[in-house]
Order: sequence, then structure tokens, then C-alpha cells
Amino acid sequence: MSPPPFFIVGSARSGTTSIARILGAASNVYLLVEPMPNLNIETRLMMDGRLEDPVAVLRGTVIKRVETGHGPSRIYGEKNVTLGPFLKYLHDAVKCKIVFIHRDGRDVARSMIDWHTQKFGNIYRECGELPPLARPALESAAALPVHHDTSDYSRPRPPVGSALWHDWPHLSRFEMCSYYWSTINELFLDQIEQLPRESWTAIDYTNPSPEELLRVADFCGLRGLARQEVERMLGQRINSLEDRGVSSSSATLQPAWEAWDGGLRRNFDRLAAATMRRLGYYRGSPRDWAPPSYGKWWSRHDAGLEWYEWMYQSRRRMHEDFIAWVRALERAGQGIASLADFGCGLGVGYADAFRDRRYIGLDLSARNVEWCRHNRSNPLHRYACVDFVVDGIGETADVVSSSGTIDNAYDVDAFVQSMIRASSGWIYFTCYRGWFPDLREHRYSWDEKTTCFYNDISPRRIRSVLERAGCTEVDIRPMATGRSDVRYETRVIARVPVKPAHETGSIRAAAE
Amino acid sequence: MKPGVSVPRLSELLLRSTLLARLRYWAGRKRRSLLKAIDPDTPLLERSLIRTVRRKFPWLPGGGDFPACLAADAFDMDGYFAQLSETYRPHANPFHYYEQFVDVVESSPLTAIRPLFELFAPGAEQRRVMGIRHDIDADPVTAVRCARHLAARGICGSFYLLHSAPYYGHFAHNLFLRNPQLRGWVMGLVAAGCEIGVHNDALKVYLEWGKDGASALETEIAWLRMLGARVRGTVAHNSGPTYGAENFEIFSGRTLWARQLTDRRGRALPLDNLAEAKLGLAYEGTFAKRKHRFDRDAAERFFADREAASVRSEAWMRRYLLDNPALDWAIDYQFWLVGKDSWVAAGRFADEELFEWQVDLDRVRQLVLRLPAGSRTVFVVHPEYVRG
Repeated sequence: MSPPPFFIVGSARSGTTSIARILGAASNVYLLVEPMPNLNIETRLMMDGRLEDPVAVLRGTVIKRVETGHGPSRIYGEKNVTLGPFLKYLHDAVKCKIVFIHRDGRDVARSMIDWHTQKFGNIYRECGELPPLARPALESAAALPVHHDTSDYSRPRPPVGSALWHDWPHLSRFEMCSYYWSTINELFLDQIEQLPRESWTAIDYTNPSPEELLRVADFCGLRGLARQEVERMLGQRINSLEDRGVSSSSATLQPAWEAWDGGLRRNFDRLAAATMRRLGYYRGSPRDWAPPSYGKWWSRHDAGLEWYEWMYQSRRRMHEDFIAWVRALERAGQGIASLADFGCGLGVGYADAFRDRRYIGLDLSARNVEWCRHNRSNPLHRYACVDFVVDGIGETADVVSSSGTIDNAYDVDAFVQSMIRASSGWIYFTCYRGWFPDLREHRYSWDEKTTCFYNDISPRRIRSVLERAGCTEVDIRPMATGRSDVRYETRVIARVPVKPAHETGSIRAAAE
Repeated sequence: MKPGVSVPRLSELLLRSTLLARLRYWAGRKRRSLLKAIDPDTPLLERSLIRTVRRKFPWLPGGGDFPACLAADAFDMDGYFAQLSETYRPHANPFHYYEQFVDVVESSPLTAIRPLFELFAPGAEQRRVMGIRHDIDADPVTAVRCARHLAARGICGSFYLLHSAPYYGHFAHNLFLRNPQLRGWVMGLVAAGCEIGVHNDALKVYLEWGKDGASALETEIAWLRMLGARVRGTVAHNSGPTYGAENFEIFSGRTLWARQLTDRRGRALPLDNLAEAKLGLAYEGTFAKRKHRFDRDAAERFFADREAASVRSEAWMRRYLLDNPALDWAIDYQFWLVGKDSWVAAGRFADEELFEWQVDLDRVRQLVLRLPAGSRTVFVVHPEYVRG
């Protein structure tokens, strides 16, 4: 018995064309990419609940193609991103296999924006945002009146009357694309989950490997694909902007998600986080915004004591300010029995300054923590290797501080929230990259070489996070550094809200 | 140069070409920075600028009966929209009303909604063919909102920008200054995928501003195209009685009857002058044509009675849309939104005649459902009526 026909489905800009071309190179396949009629209009009508007889539509189009193209010696395959609402009917009619291809929504949203601004100018044409379009995109949009633009019509819009429907005219194109990715993938997932498990497979195309492609080919019953050829075709970046003859300078492109600011991150998560979790791209923690290699540099490189001492000296004024602030609190009658330091490095400066009290040094680098354990023998001090943003520190301290570490964090707001959680009194942190009073959102910039972010922190946003967490006596200000490269750093102090009894006291108990 | 083509003839050809429009536009732009630095209403400097341009570009049209039009982007309009709100408050519907109207048109069965440039294209003989014409007399912001709403529904409306409107621009002597915000509105319309055209008011340019209306029209078409708009048609603004002629009569072959119209200084208006095809225009969107049984006396009387001309007069609207002594319509039906939930419906198909005055949207729905297959209908919406 010959294998059944198969359909490649997924959201636009997920790699469906790429995988179709690769599978199309098999020797026993007859594979069509978006053959006409492509159901652009019908898929929207179906999603809006306005298509009365989907089976009739399939019979007149897709099923007819299967009947013509599928035979004992060749397998019919079709790639179409519009089949989402029809999968169950399609499977019932032709007992086909489904290849569901998905890709990290952040990459898809970015790719869609580039597709819009550089090539076609027609993604969510109702969007009020008017970015500068590259000439080909402008010409393409102007040449395609919206009633002939079935591609844009096929994209889902929020159901009439829903909360998002009311907001829709005010959303940015980025938000609309995020909505698209989430809605379409939810639709595919809902549909394939109704099918027998053996009739579908999924492939993550975020970083596809030749082996995964060959697995899918095998699933479809395809023959004649060599690993080397698959690898070569993957390297061609089929249907990317470059592949479509667009050469754009990176300045005009949407940044990769690692460089999205806090606002883009929040907007994406608001619309797509649930789907990101459903597809396994998120695990439900702030670490979702950390690239896989985050922090590797610190574990691979041994900076050494000398470097940390130099670092301490280069920002000496900031460190002294912190120590003086702790002393002033004490003089004011507030006992500071314990401190936790997020990103302690080798404990330079603070291990000595706070030798008479509990000091918990926390660092991502196991090497640093090991060094501290061997070389810092104060019994009141403890060092731990944790990702303090997500893991917590297992106790609370009177003061939680951090000196120039938040600038390299993968999630600034989560970093602050983690400090608040770990503190029973105050938090104090400085941002070494400068003072950015005009920023509405934190500006993230990822560096793959040093495997960390370089963040410009928005004081406005920090204040909002602190106030929402119930912090009081919030003091955010520029601090003169006395240096010429960075004249001012950002210093943040806040008193954290009183915690329930069961969340505090452990450190005091331990110290006593 | 071909033998036999004289320099004046060549110059005339040049003047008629789009190249000229571009050069004019370019000349206008070159002056933009100067204009920004000075008060555009200062006549002395203005005259000096014009003289400079004349010296540098002696071949630009400037002599003759009407001075040519140059254009630049330098404009401001404080309080315009506040005044607009005030003026249209008694007549404006909430925007939701527009959404409901689109539902009415879209949900009627066997309907093909087309932009005006495709209204007569073949392929919909068994359907009710409908177009939604937006005459942007006053409110470009709501117009863009309408275009976006239609875009989400996959409907291509037709939008006509009124080049004589305060939101668009004004003349400072011979220099036409465009509102800087205009570009954004045009780009909004282009992005939304609607049809963009010019709401032709060339006669106002001649009669009220004393400038070359035909040149103004050409210039604005070229400018819109430069921004990416595919301008395929115009729609005449106002009606015959306003100026004693329809605006579309400046186009060759569209003059209703031979007559001489003059401006306040006695200069003859060049009706029957512009060739639409040469301007790349495929249609005139009122779809008016000279009446088959043309009664010149009646037409002259109708055009002379400016007092009576009002969209708020049932008698006049009936006369204009149904019993017009000068015009027939190539389309079968017209529905005009003229106020708060108030439409005028008029037209003829076969021997059936329709005229209903001040009908609400429910009635429009009923009428739309009764429109015969194969009929062509245009809905005329002025965005200021749905700006609430």
C-alpha cells in the first residue's frame, strides 16, 4: 500500500516553504507549494464562522488535487498555510498525514515585520502604524488593492466583540503579528490534537537539523533524500529575504528578539506567551528571555582576583556609597544583620566591609563561588551559585544589593522582583552603564561573544515595578562616578513591603 | 527633435507631460526650506521667490491667462479639526455607524464590492456590483480610519482627496503649500490598500483662487503618484450649480454644452481642456454623462440656480440624482449619506425608478437586498459624517 498524501502546515514565516522545497527533492513525491486556489478567503471565513460547507470547499479544491496528484508511484504533498481550520475535514476525507511545522514566535514576529517593511508592505493592512517601507514594499503594497490581497485577508482577526477586537485598531503591527502567530498555532494544535497520533508529526524549525528533516521525510514515506543535500538546502535559507532578492541593511530590519526592549517583550508575552508555553518555547519563568548560551562566558573564563579588584577600584565611588549607606542606616537605628549580594563575583570589597555580619554572596559563575568558598573563610558568610532571578536564595536578608549586575541580566524587571522577594528590609542596586532618564523601556542588547545582555535601564520602568510591588521610599537617581567614560550611573534604593512572618526571620535565626 | 515640431509646440508638449509635473514638484520642493524660514504670507518675499524660480526655470508655464501652480510642503492649520467637530456635530454619526454600514453592504448576498476603477469590469454580471466612494471633503483622519476598517474586511473602498480643502493645502500667491500632515494621511491610505483618487475641484482653483485649476489637478495627481498612490480616477467635487459647470467639464470630451465661463477678472476658463488618458486617468467617478435627451434651457436654468443646490433639500436632490436636466448616470443607483442615520437613495434600473429621502440604515439594508442582479451602485460617504 502506498503511503497517504501529506500536507505541510504551519504559520507563515515558520519555514513551511523551506521544508516543502527540501521534501520536494525526494524521488517519490509530487509536492505543490501553495497551489491555487489556495483557500485564502475560505480560511478566514472559516475562522470567522462564516463558511457554511467546508467539505464542499475542500472537495472542489484540495481533494481534487489529491485525486489527481496522488498515485501508487508518487505521494501527493502540499504546503499551504491556510489549511488550519480544515485539517480535521481533510484528514477525514483523504486520510492524509500532517506535518506541522512551528518556529519560535519571536523569530516569526520579527520575520513578518521584515517581510512587511522590506518586501510586501501588506501585513495587516489595517494597522495604523506607518513604518518607512523599502521601495519594493511600498510599490508592492500600492500595486495590490486590498480586495485582491487575499493573503492579508487570510490572516486571523480577533472575534467581533472580544476585548482584543476593541483594541485591534490601536495595536502595533508587531502586536498583530504576535497575535497572528499565536492564533494560527493554537488553531493548528487544536486541529491536529483531534487526529490520530500516528497521522501527524511536528517539527521545530527554529534551528532545524538535517536529521529532523530526514525524520519527517521518513514519516511521509519519502525516498531519495541524502543528508548532505538536505544540509545544503537548509544552508540556503530558502524563502528568506535574501533568497527573495532583498538586500537590506540591518538598520532597517526589525531587531532579533534578544534586542527587543522591555515594551516589545511585554507586548509579545501578552499576546503569545500561552502559545509559547504550549509549544515548549517557554517554561514559564523569566529565564524564557535568556538565550540558551546566557552566562556561559562566566563559567568558561577565569577573570581572576586581579580583574575583580580592578573592577572594584574602577567603580570605587559607587561601592563606597553603598557601604556608607548601610552604615548610615545603622546609625539611624536600623539593625542590618544580613546582606545578600546579587552578582558577588569574588566578594571583593564587601567580604571585608561586612565581615562582622551575615553576608550571602550569589553568583552565576560556579568558578567564582568555588573560589570564594576556598578563599573567604568568614563563618558568617555564605556563597552560592544560583540564578538568583529565578531560583531565589532560600532565605531573606535585611538588605539585598547588587552592583552593576542588573545591566547584564536577561530580564531586568524579574531581577528587581527577585531582589524584592529576597529582602526583608531594603534593596539597593546600581547600574554601571549609565543614567538614562528618557528611556520609557529598558533597552536590551545581546552579545553572543560574552553571552550576556548589555542593558540600558529605564528609571521610569524601575519605579513602576517597585511601586507595583508595594515598595516605599523609592529613590532612583543618577550618581556621579567621577569618571569621564560614564559620568553618571543609576542608583536605586527602595524599602520593600513587610513580608508575612513565615517568609522572614530565617536568616536571623540562622545567624543567632 | 522631429522636423516640423516647433519650439513652442515642444514646449507645449513638455508642459503637458508628467515630467513637467515632476519638475514643478521639484521646483516647489527646492523652495521649501526658504519658505519654512519665512512667513509664507509675506508678499514681497513670495514674489521674490517666484521671480527666482521663473529665472531658473523659464520654461515653466507662467504667462498666459493663468499663472502656473508650484507646490511646496509648508503648512500649518491650528484649530481646523476643532472647527470641523463643531461644524459637523449636528450631522455626524459615530464611527460605529460606518462599521454597521459596511456590514450592510458586505452581508447582502450575491454582492461584489469593488473599487470604482473596477466598477464596470466584467465578471460580475449576476451580482449586485457596489462601490463605496469616499469624498474626503473635510476629514482625512476619519477617511484613513474608514480605509483601515475596510482593509481588515478585505474591501477596497475608493477615496478622493479634495485638493482645494483646507486640510490639503492653500495657495500663497502662486505657490501651493501642502499641509505637512497630508503625506501621512496619503501613506495611511496607500498602506490600507484602498483606491486613491483626486476629488477634482479645478474650477474652484480657477474661479475662487484665480489660479490654473488644470495645472493644480495635474500637479496633485503627480504628487500622489510620487508617494506611491495609483491614481486611476477623479471624482468631481460639488455640482454644476456651484460654479456654473461641473468640475469634470475641464476634461476633454466631458463638456456638457459649449459655453464660456469666466472668472472674476473676465478670463475664460479652459473647459474641455485636459485629456484624462494622457494623465493616466481611466474614469470619472461621478459616472455622470451628458443627458441623452439634453434640454439646454433646462440645463442652464438648473446650473444657474445656485441657491437651490443643497444636499439637505429633497427637491433638489431628486432633481440632481434622478431628474437632472443635464446629466444621466452610467451607474444605476446612488446612496448618499447626508446626515445622522440619513441617506438619500436614487436611481433607475430597467424601468424601475427609486428615490427615497432621509432613509435610515435599516431601510438601506432593505433597499440593498432588493437591488437587481447586474446593477451597479455607488455609496457616497463623506467621512466627516462618520467622525463621531
